[in-house]
Amino acid sequence: MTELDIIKKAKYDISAFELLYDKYFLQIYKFVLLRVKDCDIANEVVSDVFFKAMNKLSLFKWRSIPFSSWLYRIAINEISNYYRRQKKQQKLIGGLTIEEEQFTPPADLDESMSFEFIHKYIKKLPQRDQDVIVLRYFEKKSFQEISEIIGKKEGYIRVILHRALKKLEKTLPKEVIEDVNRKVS
Amino acid sequence: MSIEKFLDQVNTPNNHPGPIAVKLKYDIKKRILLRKRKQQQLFTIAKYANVILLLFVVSMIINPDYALVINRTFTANTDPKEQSLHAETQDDNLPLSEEGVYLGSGLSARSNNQSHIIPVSTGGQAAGSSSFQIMDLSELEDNTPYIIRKINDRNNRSIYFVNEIATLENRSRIPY
Repeated sequence: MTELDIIKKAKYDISAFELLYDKYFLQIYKFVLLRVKDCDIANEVVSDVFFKAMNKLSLFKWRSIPFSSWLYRIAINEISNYYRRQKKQQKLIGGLTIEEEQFTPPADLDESMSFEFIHKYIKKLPQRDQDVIVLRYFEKKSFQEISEIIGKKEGYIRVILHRALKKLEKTLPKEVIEDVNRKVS
Repeated sequence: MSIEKFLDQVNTPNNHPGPIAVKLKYDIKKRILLRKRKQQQLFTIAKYANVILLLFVVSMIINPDYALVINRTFTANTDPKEQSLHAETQDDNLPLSEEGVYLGSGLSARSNNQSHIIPVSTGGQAAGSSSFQIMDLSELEDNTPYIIRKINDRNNRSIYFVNEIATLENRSRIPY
């Protein structure tokens, strides 16, 4: 059975949707985890992603984008929704100021090359920039795939990525950039 | 750009959700099934409501009496006899005239003519006396303004209520 047949069947049969879930769960889970960096939140978001995907499956049209890209798109929207909710909650709590994290230089190469280290700086970028960076460098997606997920042209994605990298470079401490330049070269 | 090379070499965590994946799958399945069941229940209720409404509309078109019967079965006052009894008790509550004649439907039952009229004074002059009395049409004065209300029952019997409008002398004037 091809993926198209499974999708057609899953529109009215939940057991067929299980096949799609099993196929794409890990991909989506990893992407969400890279973006939110918390297992509990990732579980919640991924649950919402697949729930929405099942409910809106009738709206999915095979000709426009592949199913995996459609799932990624839902995931991106759900992550944005999660951050929006979190912002609202913080506003409701009121007046809570989050202290800027003090920069502590990484002890060795492994630490500076870890995702945990760079995520602190990626987190400071706008949502769209974060999505593009994560999809390109950590999910290893091509520009065409990213453009399908984001729903913009490839040229636009390249521009966003270029600007996002510039912003990231600015947020990174000088010591880290020098260290990285030295180690990479 | 060095930052690109750097990002390419960053080690991404390889966290496998493990048993959570299965638990999540069943949670989602449960949510979807619950939602579907709710939708089905709502659909069934709507279906039956539609059938009743359709019956009502069709019966209204074929014969309005059927609709009346349906209406009576679904409303509190089911028996038409009870309704007429209720109307009679309402008539009984009307005050008696000096001759002991009922001012309700009994009066009209005896004479279908418009020979008697019941004036109700709203002016200050009638404050002391009873507000209801039977009088002949000829007793109405030419220079007094009245409000006359005619009420018909389903047998086309009628009763007139006459309200005398107070004269200008009795009305309190608003200074301006």
